[in-house]
Amino acid sequence: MWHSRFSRALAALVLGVTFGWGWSWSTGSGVRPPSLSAQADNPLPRDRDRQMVTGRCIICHSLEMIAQQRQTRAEWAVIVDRMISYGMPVQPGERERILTYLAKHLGQ
Amino acid sequence: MDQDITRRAFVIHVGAAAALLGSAIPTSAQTTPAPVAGKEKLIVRSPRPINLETPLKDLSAEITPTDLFFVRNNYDGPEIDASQYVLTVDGEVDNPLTLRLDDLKRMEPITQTITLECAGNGRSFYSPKAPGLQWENGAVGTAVWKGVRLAEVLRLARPRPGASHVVPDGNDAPPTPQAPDFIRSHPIWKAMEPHTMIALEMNGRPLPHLHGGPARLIVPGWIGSASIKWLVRLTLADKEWDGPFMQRSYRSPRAEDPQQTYSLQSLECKSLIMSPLDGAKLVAGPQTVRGYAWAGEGSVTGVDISLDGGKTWAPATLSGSAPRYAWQRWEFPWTAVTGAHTIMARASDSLGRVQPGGKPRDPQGYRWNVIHAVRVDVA
Repeated sequence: MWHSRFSRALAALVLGVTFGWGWSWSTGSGVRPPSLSAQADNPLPRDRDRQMVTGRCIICHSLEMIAQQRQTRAEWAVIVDRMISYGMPVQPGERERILTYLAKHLGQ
Repeated sequence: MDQDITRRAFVIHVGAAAALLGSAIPTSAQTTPAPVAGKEKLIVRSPRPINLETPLKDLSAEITPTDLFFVRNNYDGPEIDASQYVLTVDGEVDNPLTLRLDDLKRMEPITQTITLECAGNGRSFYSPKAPGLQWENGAVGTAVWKGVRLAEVLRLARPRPGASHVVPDGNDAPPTPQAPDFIRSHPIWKAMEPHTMIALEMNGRPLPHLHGGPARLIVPGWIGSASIKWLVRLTLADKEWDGPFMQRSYRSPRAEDPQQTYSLQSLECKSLIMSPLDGAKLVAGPQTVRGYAWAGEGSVTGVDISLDGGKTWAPATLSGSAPRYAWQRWEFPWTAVTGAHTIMARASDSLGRVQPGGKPRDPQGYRWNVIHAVRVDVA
């Protein structure tokens, strides 16, 4: 029990340090890949676009906020468009890729 | 056969119970976020902003210990140095003022036991899924709050006749400049109601930061989001706040016209079975079913128990002296016989409300109060 808590806390620390130091949020280029521990702790389903979705969302909130939800593509679009209106940085074409990812893995 | 539970409602209910028992855990979210310091026993729904749920097994005490009390933040807020704390009262008042923590502490104190529940508690049981944090049953708790009446603070500022709403603001901040501040307003009648308070202490200790310290609103009987944390400003206004947390969030369809929505105020009439827990293995013989019920602006008038899937109901005993706006303890003695049983609890209140056996979809997943059921095996 203690060990699992400790390792989770350590992983969270690694995650925080990795994101805090290594990521440039404003562009998709030049992003250092997260460490193995960070990837292991990422609750979002693995896919080609997981890293892009992770980078866009984690600026403002934890990934658990997303991973626990199940929404249709149209319902996700309402949420993603609200996030874009709140300043979520998206490159051309990324809105569609985010919606495709969410609808595929976290749909209903 | 009870008149209130139709066969159709029961079918919906059983579906909800199945959701409760089986499918509440998302399959793809396999990782468990690190626990939050001081709240190690709570389920982390989100580490940022911090949202923590109390496991039902830890909700058995009449007063929920602070380390077990749920946390619901729309945005996180920075810690406030109590010595630097300032509350501003302005807007439609003749005497705008600022108060420090010591000023509040010099006012007449009140201490009240009050139940808080998040409007989205139980959201995970809706099918299809509603957007938002997927709370199960534990975004509810009861604490002893000490502070001052909001009315007394407002009177110091001398509200003008046109002041019809109070707009409280907390010290939390959205993560981007474009995201809206978390602000919701209250009609003046509720702000002036003698139970509505600015809390400075929780369960006998200075109000912790996670619970809105050094000062927060407690708007008893209303959805949790009314009780603004990290309170730093009270603005009197001549109309309801027009921001998205008032006009888009915390709203549900009107029963008489689902195309129209209303701003949520009172909590629903609701009960939870705290013992036995779902899946419990019991020994045949005398057993006691226990739980709590609450009803927002109503008072709990009864809790009925069914052991036969809702066909017949028998009254539980309401015990203790539940203060206004605190949950009501109830218990039901039961002679358990060998086999599998489903225990259901259904509360009624002074406003004529009765917990339903099923519920139409609420677009944002609020107001879940479908009859709670637990399955037990008696050997």
